[in-house]
Amino acid sequence: MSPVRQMRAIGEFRGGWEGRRGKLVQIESRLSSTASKADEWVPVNPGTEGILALGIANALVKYHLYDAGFVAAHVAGFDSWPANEGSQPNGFRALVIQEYDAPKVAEITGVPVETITRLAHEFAISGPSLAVTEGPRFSSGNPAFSSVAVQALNALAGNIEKPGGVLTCPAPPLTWWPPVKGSGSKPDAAAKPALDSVKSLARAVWESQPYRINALFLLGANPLFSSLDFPRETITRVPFVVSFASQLDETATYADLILPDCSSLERWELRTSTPGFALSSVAVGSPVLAPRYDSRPCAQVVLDLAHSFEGDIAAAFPWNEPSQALNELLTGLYDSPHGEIFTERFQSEYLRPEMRAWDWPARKYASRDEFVKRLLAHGGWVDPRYAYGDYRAGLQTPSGKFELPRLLATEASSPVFSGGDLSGYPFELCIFQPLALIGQAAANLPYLQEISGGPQVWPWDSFLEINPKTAASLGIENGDWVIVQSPAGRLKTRALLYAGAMPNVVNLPLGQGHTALGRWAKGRGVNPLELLANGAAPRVRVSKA
Amino acid sequence: MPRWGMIIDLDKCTGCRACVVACKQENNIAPSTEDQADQGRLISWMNVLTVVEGDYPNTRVRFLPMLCQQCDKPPCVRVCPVGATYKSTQQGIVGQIYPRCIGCRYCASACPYQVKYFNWFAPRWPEELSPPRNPDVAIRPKGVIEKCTFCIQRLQRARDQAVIENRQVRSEGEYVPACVESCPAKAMYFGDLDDQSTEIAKLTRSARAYRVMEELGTEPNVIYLKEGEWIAG
Repeated sequence: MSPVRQMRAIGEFRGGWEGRRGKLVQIESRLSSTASKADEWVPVNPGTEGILALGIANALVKYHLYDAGFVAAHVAGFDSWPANEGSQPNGFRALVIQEYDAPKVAEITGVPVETITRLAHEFAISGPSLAVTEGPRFSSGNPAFSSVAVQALNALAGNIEKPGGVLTCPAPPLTWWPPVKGSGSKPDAAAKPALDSVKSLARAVWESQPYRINALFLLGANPLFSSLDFPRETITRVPFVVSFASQLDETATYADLILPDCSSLERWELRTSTPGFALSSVAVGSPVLAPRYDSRPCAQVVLDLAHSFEGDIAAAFPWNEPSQALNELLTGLYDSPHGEIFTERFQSEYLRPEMRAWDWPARKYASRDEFVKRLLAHGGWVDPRYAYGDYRAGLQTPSGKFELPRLLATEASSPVFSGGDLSGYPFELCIFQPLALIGQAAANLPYLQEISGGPQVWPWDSFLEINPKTAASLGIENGDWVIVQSPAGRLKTRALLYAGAMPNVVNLPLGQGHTALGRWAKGRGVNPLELLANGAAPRVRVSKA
Repeated sequence: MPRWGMIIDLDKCTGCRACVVACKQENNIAPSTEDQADQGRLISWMNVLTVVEGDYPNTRVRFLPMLCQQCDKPPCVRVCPVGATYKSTQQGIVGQIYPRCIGCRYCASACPYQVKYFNWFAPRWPEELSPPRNPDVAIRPKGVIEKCTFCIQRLQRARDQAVIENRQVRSEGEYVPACVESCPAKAMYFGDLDDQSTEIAKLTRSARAYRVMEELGTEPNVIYLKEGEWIAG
């Protein structure tokens, strides 16, 4: 994600004419930065966002506010589940009408009936409208269910693959390096499933499923701090761990070898299409500073490692420096009949319809070298065209349609957290990410620590946001030290009375409480994830210390 | 002479505080420590105030970037017994002469915007952060007041270039303070308020434009555009 791009987008959005620009509604259990810039904040009980989405879907269906043409053509499972094996009610329409009527949803989510109905009407009539979710990361809800439920709203409104709707970013035409051939390659390596989550990585370590992990290379990841699924017992079971962390984070302290990577200003970088930007694009960053201290770009280490092998592996990596490998990738952009370098012409004109038309030709350059030189000088390349209405891109499912039956599968999937007796824990815990501490090593930067809490909140520390009325009932005043106790652990921090906290929810920021990472990060504040250890539910009780 | 001024569009400001960090980096403001922050002695020429209004669920959070308002009639100048803080007639900027300051803090008390900061401690940089100090900005010693200067060192650089090219500094775009340059939401504008051809001069005529505490007669050169409400269209 690019926070800078998102900020700019918010700025441009808010700068639009009132009444003509779109309306931003933030549905969230905490009044966050985004909620503060939204036109309306709708507080919702943590983890119930998916249920609210189906409550809105209920109104869309009940009042015939959905796009019937789109649903008939591109949505599967609306009237009946395709392979109905006795699952009742049969079909999405029946499901939302019977199970998700407004009063019931209002009781679960805490959002009033009239708000649910109004949101549904606004969503339907102010199109193109878009429902976006990040999914609850650490709340009691089911993230997969929430995602599918929220996306179902886009399907009902027909806002897929059309301007203002859900778009699928096409891959840029880079010339990818050929695979390793001959005796050096392992034919079965590509066929093995990727370990695409920390959870699957942990499973591979403990159960050798789907395969055994003999060596672990960590780049830009600190799972010991940021994940619930990777406790320290897991990493100690991996025979060989290499960390590319440039600051000694929690996971790096368990590494056999630390090879500090350079910062982004000291190395070559190539990024393809960022979330929130639907056009096929490539951004290239060249180093502007010489590497400081004893650090090397990770890409250089990989190249050197390949060269240390003999034969086919070394031959597959013929470059001496990362810049040469990157240069080769850009050949595809030069050969592409479409696309533009980020020039001033592009910046000023890319929204013009003729430029976005299919026949807008790429500018010709005298040679490939000149193209690359200009691309590096301007920082990137973009193809301004987008194939609206091409549902093959947006609906990559077996049926080629938006598959509502997935809701059932995700609804039935096991919740992230365990249940148990939670009667002694009256508050839901909401863990949020402060903007200043988003970066991997941000907590170890003094300037970012200074702005981590905001000026009137204590910087350099954690705090517990609590609703003022709730705090008063517990005899807690602003700045009091409080104990936050969950079924798994307890933390001590200061209370911040915040009217943007729901009465039944307390909020803790993520990013402090490091046990490593450097002198400015270590031993400062608390890590709220400790309260969720061993799958404990995000429920807490709060008392004055 | 140009009248340098700033416009901050509160509708666009997301409260991200990139301006705060950019200012510290540009102007050699040493990082604070936890103790200094606890004592309320954190120096931040640019500060983003967060205002929480109303009770749950009708709560509203607003952000107000607060820096020296570069007043045309600055109260801080009137109370300084040694002439350490002054209004530059050439640049329209309220300046601070550090060697003259005796640390009486009258100006900090007189400033209604609370944007004059006293150096309670000698500035210290950790070893790792020391090389990037800006050579164009003086390091302030313990015992003196400091404040936002609209990045006057950047104006000096622009003027030097303009002299070489035998022209005036351009009214917009050539001289821009670090906070304005860093704003990801492009919520800040900077330029000559007296040049009617500039974007900033047009924005001063917006119905949303206001100055903070203008009833005090300080005549600030920082102008805010208040947040607009969404109206069903």
